[in-house]
Amino acid sequence: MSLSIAKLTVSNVRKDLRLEWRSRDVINSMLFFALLVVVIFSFAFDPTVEESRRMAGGLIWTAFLFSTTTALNQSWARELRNGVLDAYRVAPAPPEALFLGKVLANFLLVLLLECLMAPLFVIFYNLSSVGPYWQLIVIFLLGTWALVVNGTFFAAMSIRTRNRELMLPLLLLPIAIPAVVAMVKATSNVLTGDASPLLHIKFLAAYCVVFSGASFLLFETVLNAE
Amino acid sequence: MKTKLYPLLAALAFILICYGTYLGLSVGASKTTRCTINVQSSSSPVTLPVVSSANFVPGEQAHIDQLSHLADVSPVEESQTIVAVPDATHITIARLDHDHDGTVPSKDGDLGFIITDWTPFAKLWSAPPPLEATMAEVQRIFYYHVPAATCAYTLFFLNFVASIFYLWKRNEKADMLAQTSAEVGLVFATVVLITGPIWARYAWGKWWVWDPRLTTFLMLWLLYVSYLVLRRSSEKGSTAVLASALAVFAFLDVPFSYWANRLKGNHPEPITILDSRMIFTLMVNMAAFLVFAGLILWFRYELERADRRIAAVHVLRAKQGVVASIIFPAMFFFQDPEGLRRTHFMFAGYIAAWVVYAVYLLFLMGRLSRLKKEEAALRG
Repeated sequence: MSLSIAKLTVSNVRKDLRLEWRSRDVINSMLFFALLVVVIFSFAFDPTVEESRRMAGGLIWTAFLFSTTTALNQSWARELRNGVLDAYRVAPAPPEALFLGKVLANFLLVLLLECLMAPLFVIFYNLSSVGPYWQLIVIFLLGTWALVVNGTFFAAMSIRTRNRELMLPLLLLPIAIPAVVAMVKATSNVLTGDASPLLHIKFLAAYCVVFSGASFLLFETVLNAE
Repeated sequence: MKTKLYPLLAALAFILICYGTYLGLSVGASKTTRCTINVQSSSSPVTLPVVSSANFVPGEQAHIDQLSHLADVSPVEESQTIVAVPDATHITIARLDHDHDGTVPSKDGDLGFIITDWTPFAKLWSAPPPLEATMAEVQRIFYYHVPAATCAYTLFFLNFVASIFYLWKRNEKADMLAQTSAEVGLVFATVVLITGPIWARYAWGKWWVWDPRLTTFLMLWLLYVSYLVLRRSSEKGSTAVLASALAVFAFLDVPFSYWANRLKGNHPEPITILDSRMIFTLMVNMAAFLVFAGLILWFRYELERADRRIAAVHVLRAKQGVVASIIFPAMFFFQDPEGLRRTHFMFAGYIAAWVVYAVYLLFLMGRLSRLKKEEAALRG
């Protein structure tokens, strides 16, 4: 009885979202963290509208990057309890389904976070975009995917290390530097209307393709590493 | 190291490093000058008025117009034999195949086109390079900085290849090679990141700029720090696989990082090589540090092998060839430095590099003595 990857993925996504909805741990901690970053930065710098358009890209993505890290650790930690991860390793189901399910679930959670945080950013920093809004949506989708796919992979890697809370940011941040540079630049370009973000968007797309491929190919190896 | 090869290589590294450092620290006479008139091509000998013809030797090749890369001027670099040096401000060359316009500035901003006496290979062995035009002594950090960067890149590439091989074949030797090349590569990367800012502080006035090359290199350094932390803190059984996966990601990430930062903007490279002696000095230092890197890699590899065997409670004699593991260049030459601050920077660059290497080697020595004690305890 072999289930298709699609069905397995969907059931994994639903399982993760259901678990998350029941406890709301991850969403709460993400929201709180992002809110904290927003408020503290607004104390640290008191930007004018022009300044905040230039700074906002970096601020937004810093906040989301750190929130994503907290979410990812918790999502894999859940699998360790009661030997669920070991059950996956011996099950005949393809591990790509588990990975894709986790990535999609985390992706949806972080997107939810971004939808909740976006109005707050607009309010606290008096943001208004000079460039077209639809570009911002594309950037957010691609950027979130880039962070989440790498983050899920490295969270799986670091979950069985000694200091797992430290390992994930330590592994993820250097790898994600090119993507973060592109995201921040693209967001700033759209907000200030100074330049076209299309090159950065294409770069983000290429990054997503390459690293999604690498993660999927190597996940089974990492899952079964013993 | 039971073979005779290791002490031989150590001796070779020592000689090359001393020679390279001697060349790097001693100053030769300048053999570069400028001509500020317009000259036409000619098939008979031409006498060019130059700023100074000192140190130009008849019979050697003159490289003419090396920096003619202005936007709307196509490069017309040529190499002709110097026939004679009639007086202190003229040079006669055999012929001119192209026209040269000395009334406009060259790429470095000064008026006139550049003529360099290209020291022939036979004379290069005893010819120290001249002072560079803008940075004088501080530029010489380049002779340690670039070889260290080359070693770092080579070792990281070796790490990538070894990791791929491990993922494919699960060969433990490949895993050991991956670990050792990552660690030694990180040492060289650290030297790059220390000598670079020392150089930059004088050359650009700032310790650091976020341009593509520097940012990518810093990111590479961070990636390999995270690689070593992962190796240290993961469960013993899964270390090799996880680390190999990370190495693959690290390798994939480097080109992306470079492109990403190119989108941010560029910072001009300040180094212009105008003299064959500079190239020669660079090559000597490159060879010296590549041999040095190979030496440390070999030593570290043997250490790792002994470490793993002892960890498996295997009593094996770890006969270590400690001969010549610590190498210091013993030759420093002072040539009348003009501007004490510049020499401070230059020596700071050279000394910083050796401090990093020495600290790492001391660390390896410490591990070696610990291993020996452990082995003695296991036996006794």
